[in-house]
Amino acid sequence: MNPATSEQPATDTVDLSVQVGPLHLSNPLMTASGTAGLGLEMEPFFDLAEAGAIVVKTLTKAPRHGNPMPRLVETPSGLLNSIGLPNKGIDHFIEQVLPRLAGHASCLVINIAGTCTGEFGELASKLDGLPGVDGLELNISCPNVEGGDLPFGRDPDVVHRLVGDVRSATALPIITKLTPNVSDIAAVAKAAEDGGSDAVSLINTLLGMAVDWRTGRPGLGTVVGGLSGPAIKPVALRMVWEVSRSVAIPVVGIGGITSADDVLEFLCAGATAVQVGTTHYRTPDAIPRLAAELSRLLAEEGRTSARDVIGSMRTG
Amino acid sequence: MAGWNRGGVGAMAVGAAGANDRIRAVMNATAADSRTCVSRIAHVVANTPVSGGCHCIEARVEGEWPGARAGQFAMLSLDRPDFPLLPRPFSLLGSREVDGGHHVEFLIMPIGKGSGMLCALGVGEPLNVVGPLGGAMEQDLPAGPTVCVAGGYGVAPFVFLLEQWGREGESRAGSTTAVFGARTAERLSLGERLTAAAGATELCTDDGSIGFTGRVDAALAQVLSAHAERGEPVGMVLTCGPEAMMEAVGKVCRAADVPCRASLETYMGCGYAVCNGCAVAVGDPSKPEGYTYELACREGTVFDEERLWWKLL
Repeated sequence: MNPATSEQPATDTVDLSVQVGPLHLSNPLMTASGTAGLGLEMEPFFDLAEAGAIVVKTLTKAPRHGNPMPRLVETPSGLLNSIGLPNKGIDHFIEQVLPRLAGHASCLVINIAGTCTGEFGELASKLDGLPGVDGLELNISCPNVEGGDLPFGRDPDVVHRLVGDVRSATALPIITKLTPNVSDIAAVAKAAEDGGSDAVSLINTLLGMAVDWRTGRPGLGTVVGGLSGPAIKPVALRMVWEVSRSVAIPVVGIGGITSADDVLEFLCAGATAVQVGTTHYRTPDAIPRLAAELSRLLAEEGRTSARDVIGSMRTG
Repeated sequence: MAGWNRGGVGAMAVGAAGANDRIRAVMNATAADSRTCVSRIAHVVANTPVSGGCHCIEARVEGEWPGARAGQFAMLSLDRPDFPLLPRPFSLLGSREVDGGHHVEFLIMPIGKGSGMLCALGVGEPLNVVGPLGGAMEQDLPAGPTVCVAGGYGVAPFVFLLEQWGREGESRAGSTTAVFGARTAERLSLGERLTAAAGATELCTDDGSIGFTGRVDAALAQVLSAHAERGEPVGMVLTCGPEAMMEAVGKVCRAADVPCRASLETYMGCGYAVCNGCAVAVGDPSKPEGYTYELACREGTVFDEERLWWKLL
């Protein structure tokens, strides 16, 4: 609170809007893919238009049943998951879900994953020009599909080619979602930028596992899964900072955000927007709550725009 | 409710029209992706320790709360830094209007950190409630008496069901037999409320400290044959409790050719079908690889027992 005045800060004068490449977001809060279903599941809890963007759960060309149980293990301040991208396939989404979803979100981003590099372009061209679709997020980094990590996200050359394929298949804005399970995430981000990506989002989950030594059984049905939640926030912040210094395109920060302070930390470290994930499980209306809290925090500090915080971290 | 699958049971639905009309009024509103679940703060109005180490937590919901039916559940959490990351799912033990507002009730066994913190709540303290979630267990019940088979704190939805029927003057309450088992008499939490609400009650204990000495599946077999001998065959068995118990109950039902629905308790991340963590293998268990996954929170938690692949749960 500004000590010079005892009046309530004017939260309605704070501008939360941000620009993620060609995408104009009314606030920097996006849903993280896989934590908000296909968007419709959130409608009992908030108006989808209140989110900067809704990012749907990953869609694939063919339907997928997902992985065997157990699929979740709670860890200290974190959640291990191995869900396996269950979905009814892109065609089902386009025919049955999109007509009900189009127009509900202020910005709708469709997350897609191919089982080979060529499939990404095929999925992208199916979505190109469809009413209600504002952008694509490429899941080149899911740790929970056959063979462990999707191989695409680790090799800069493959990422460059894959993003280039998608770029030539669609005019839609492209966000490439990066895996933290690499030694040099900035190099992969640069490859995505050079391939034509309009933004990068990071981080996807960190590979992890849990085991019960008494029973001798792993916690997850697939043994290894992806860790999310507050436990990974420091890793995510570090990677957002590294990537934002290496690329000119906007960075969308993901990893353990539960409060408006977390959001502003990511912005300060270089993110233009953020995605809110695991916290949805406990707080389905996290996005409108965080938006209100963001305005309040910024007003308290006398800031008039969330954009002023982006990349404001000083070193040395 | 979206994906509610009754297998062959729906076709047998000929009775209980009164109850079904009421349920449809609630469940229609919950159809496909427009479910009436809400996220609310509630304040504890009573925290009553009951036998078996469980607590009955009754809380008044702030703001609107949709009507709930027995078998539905809610996700509970506390806004405290030391509360676990994920909310915890609990069956609704009650959901009713009180003084122009709504009270919800839960039976909670303090088995871990989250449930322990919930059981320690004092009157007036807040908790987060997301619900009501999942489907009702009484939808399209066939004609004939119902038998409810509960194990341990799996008794909660049946106390809700029978008390709700009683309040609504539903005649089924009087013809329903409750079979309730636990290791000892002390662990039959809410046994008195169940007995008061059911037409007949068969208590079972492993140690014989009260009622039938033995497991609920053995007691159920006797109840089913007694009904058959009287010419009043049981129309439906509903069960909630430990998985091994429900599987054994399912076996008895299949042998007696009585349909059975089981309310599953699974690991859950969200309760409202976005985390996909509560997958249940369902399908025709006689066909190899004949299963697919449904979500306990959305298609359940109540499933036709004959569709469940117990060994994959």
